Amino acid sequence: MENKLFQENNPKRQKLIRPLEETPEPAPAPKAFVETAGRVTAAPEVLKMSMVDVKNYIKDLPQLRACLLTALQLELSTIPPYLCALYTIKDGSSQQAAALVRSVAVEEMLHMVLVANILNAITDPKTIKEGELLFDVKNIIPNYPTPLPGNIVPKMPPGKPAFTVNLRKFSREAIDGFCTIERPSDPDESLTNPTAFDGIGQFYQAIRWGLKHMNEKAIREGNKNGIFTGDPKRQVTPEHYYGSGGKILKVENYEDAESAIEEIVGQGEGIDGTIAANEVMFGEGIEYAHYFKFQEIACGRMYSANDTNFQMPVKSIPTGKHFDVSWSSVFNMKENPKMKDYENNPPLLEKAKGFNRTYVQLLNNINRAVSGNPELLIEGITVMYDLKYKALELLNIPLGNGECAGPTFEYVDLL
Amino acid sequence: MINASSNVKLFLEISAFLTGFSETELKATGMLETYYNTILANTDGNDIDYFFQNVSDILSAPERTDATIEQAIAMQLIPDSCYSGLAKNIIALWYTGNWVGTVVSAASYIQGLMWEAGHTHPPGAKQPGYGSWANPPLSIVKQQN
Amino acid sequence: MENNEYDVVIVGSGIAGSIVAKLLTNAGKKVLLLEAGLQAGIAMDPEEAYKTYQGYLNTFYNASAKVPNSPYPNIKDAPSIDVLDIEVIKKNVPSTKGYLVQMGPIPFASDCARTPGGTTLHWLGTTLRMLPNDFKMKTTYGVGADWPFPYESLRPYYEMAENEIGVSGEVGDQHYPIKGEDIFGEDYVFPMRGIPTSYLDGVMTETIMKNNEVVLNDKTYELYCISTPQGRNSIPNPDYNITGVVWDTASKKLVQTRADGKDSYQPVGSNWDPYTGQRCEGNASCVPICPVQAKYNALKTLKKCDMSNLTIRTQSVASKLLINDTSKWISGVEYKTYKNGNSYEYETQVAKGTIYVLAASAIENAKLLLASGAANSSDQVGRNLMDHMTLLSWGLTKEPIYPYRGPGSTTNIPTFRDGDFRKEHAAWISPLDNWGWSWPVYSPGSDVNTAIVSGMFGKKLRAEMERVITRQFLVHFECEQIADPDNRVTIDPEYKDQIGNYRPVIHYKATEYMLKAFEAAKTVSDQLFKQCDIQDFTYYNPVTNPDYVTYKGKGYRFDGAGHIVGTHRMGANKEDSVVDADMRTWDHENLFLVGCGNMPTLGTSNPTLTMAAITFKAAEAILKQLEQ
Repeated sequence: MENKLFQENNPKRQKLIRPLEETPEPAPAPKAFVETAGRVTAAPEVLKMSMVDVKNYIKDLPQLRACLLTALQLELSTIPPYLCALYTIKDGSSQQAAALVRSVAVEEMLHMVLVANILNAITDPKTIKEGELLFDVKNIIPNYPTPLPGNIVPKMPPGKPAFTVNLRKFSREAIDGFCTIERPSDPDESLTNPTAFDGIGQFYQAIRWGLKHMNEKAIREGNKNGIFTGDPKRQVTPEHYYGSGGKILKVENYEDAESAIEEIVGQGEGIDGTIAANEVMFGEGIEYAHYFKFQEIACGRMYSANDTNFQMPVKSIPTGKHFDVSWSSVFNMKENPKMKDYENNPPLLEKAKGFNRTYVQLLNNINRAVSGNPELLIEGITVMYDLKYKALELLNIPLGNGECAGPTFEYVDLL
Repeated sequence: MINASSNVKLFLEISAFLTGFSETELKATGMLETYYNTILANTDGNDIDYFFQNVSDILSAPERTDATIEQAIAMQLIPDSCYSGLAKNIIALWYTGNWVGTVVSAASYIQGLMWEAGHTHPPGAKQPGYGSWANPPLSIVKQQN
Repeated sequence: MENNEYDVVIVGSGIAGSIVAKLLTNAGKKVLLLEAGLQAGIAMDPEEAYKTYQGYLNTFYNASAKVPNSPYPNIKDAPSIDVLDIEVIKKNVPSTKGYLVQMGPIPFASDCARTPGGTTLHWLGTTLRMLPNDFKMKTTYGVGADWPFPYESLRPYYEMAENEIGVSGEVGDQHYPIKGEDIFGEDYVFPMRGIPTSYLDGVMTETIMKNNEVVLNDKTYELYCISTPQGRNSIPNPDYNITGVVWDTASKKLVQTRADGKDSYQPVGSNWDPYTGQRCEGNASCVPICPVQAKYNALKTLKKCDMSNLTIRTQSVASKLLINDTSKWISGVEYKTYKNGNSYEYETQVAKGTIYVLAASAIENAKLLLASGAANSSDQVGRNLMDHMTLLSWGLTKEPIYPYRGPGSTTNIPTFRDGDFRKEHAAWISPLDNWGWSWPVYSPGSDVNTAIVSGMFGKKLRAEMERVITRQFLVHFECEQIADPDNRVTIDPEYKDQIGNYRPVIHYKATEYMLKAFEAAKTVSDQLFKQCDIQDFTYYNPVTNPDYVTYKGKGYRFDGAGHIVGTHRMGANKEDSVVDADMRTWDHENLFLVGCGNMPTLGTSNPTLTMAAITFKAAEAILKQLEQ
């Protein structure tokens, strides 16, 4: 029997995306025009970026690569906020919540590597200059608060400002933000910004179509391997990753790329409208997408095996086992801290720089790993541990106003 | 008499001289208050008062330099005959997390400075990750671009 | 009294008991497991398991002396042996400070943990196999005893044990003193790639190999270093395809199952979260506790039991075996269930099964047999108590080697594991230690205190600590103790614990075979340190070291290795052994003994792997007997 519900290589991980289908295809939404005093303007009602737009968003290979680089940045930009929430939970409190946030952060790392694998898979090694790195560390680091990269504009409740990603201590506000980042989009909801993606899932949907179309085009043009002409030696392989249910997948063809995206959005953000009723399953031993993990923290309650019967958008709350979440046993970290906040305290500034050097070192390491030296990822993981200890040192330092210092995740030059 | 909050400040300042770790490094352990309370709870009140008076004098002496302060510490605080050996106990507290041989708390064990001084981590905590031990410690490896 | 409702009653939930329980329950047999330790320790529910384990970790953090048993509850109703109780034994005055009654002349120097999961909670995790000659010491070297089977017949069981424990290692690195022996068979790989060796190993191996010849009794030997296989998680070896062991009812044998494809091995994570502990994270605290459970412990095996066939009774201390007068079959195990760890209140009950398995540790198994007058027609029960008598050598290197990182030991010198010298003195293995001088002198805390006492403070103190801590080198010489009937566990009605169970009474000494080994090992150590330009700080204290012995006018201190072995040895004849090759007692057809007590010799390997291997063999025999 075809396994519809779970990933092929990991029977505990749900499969949450549907295959791409060329037909039936929703007709392009006819644009409504209103004539007012001889002038033609677009109708005031908001339209979601239509399915056709998503499908045809990527026009050529350079744009596909650019989108994948943006995806890399997107995954990276979510890691520091998750880490801030995780680090600020004081030792021994909110254990369940800490474990859930940790698992998400660890999987965002996985997603970064998977995106890099896709990008490497469609990059002809002949086009890579000696020593060229996959991305530019200095420019990929976001400046918090930051909108989501890639023209992704999640819908916000009326009256709320546009969505930004922030470095915050573990708090309801932070978890709300995470829910927004990871929220599977609702096909029936109207959009704030009709020219933007309404969620990460939709952005990846565009990438999926792009991969498919570009690959088919390349095959039509006589390239046997389609766009998958990358150097297999640049692929990061499974043994380099551990700590979550996810697996690194080598990407060598279109099917691999689809599986990789399935892992990213299936566990992560969910794809536009693909979470159907009766298909989401909960309960012990079943792994589900990040959005639901954050919902559990927000409610202080696990999903139970009975929580299957709901429709998108997710409105039902978890009804399983309660667990303790303490919003007070938390380091009171200043929101979106910056090195310049510490300028009047040189030893603290030095510590903050020390943290950022480690952060840059980590990114350099990942960058080198995905640029032809996959074995370096193991070293990168050790830097990741060090990052945590350096962050905790900052959090132990009071600022004198009831708040404490925190990691700023900014770029610094290394010595 | 000096008030409590200025004593904490003095405690931090003199701890930096006693341990060879900067005030920021000491604060970053998160143990400052715990340790201050530990010495208060376990040292004779008179010894405490005279100790902080002496510390205050040493740290506020005119024309002080690190060298003069260190010299004064060696003469006036370090000898066992001074304040029932409080200065040495303070050093041991920061380095090992123990007060006279007894662990103050799980956190004090984990934050012991001796591990950092030796470029390592307390066994069972602050683990450095898979394979880290195959290379020199990160604290001595130069970070490169 | 209960009905005869169990196929098998097992005493003890350590690695031996857990392996038997796992194999039997998965073969559909009904098993009752009696465990002396506290209920909390057995928790299988992830949340409870996490809570209990965090409790252990917190106790460890708060312990002043972080000895092997420091994280685990030591309760009065089922006391544990503790190294902190070892003291100098005064002439004719037994040491009764701890659980053991130490008659001397010198104290037995090792401990074990009497708690669910047993001593695997604090084992180091070294998983070296024994060498072929270790199984025929009497025949080859004229000392000790022969096993009732050769190394070769144990090979498949070693593979089962390596699968169960999850061994990380490189078969290609395993070169032993006798060349040409086929230890692993063709194409064999361990489940996971080798745990990376430490930075210290790299520096020291290079230094040792520059000038690696040592002379011992006019013979020249070459020192060399190899990586050590370990029971902790690493990167899965894609070439490994063994997936487990099943009981094959047709052939009446345990059979290894294999995957079709490669990439089949999944590291077994912690008992509370499968994704914690998938790799060793370098906590550098394997002994006494791995915080992430990347290191194997027996609770991982217990968790794989078919729970529908398993009944576990904790806080239940086996006190006596009931023996049928005519058939000599065991008819029940009397056990005392206490209310809480230190209460005087308990209930006595009897557990009944078709077959009984004692898996309570070498010392407890022997004690229980002696208390029951069981299995002792050979008069060997309790005798031949062995350990690795361990000499430690420590010094400062010229350049920093950055110890106190990684697992306790990742490289060893196997040169003296085997050879003709075993006719004269004990063989030994020399692991390089990654944790500085913590073992012999409680560094670095003791170094801090020394510096402070000398008046050091401030930047000078910090620099001194950096200088000392980063250069500490320790190597130890685990000398294979050879069986001696007078090194033994006995019981004495005068010595009982508070719920009326016997305390083990120990007689212990170092024979000349061992003393000669200390002399030899020290000779090698001295040459090694000189050749490697290590400033020697080794110091044996005649007054304060409890296990201080002299030979030819020179003194040595040895430590225990925690390898408690030999108290109910296996053999080919019922006259000189307690169990047969299937680990069935010669005297009682339905009584099996498992654990290190079965081992006639110790060899130079940490015994857990070998003990696990023979436990698979025993389980096979038990299943066979049940299905007769």
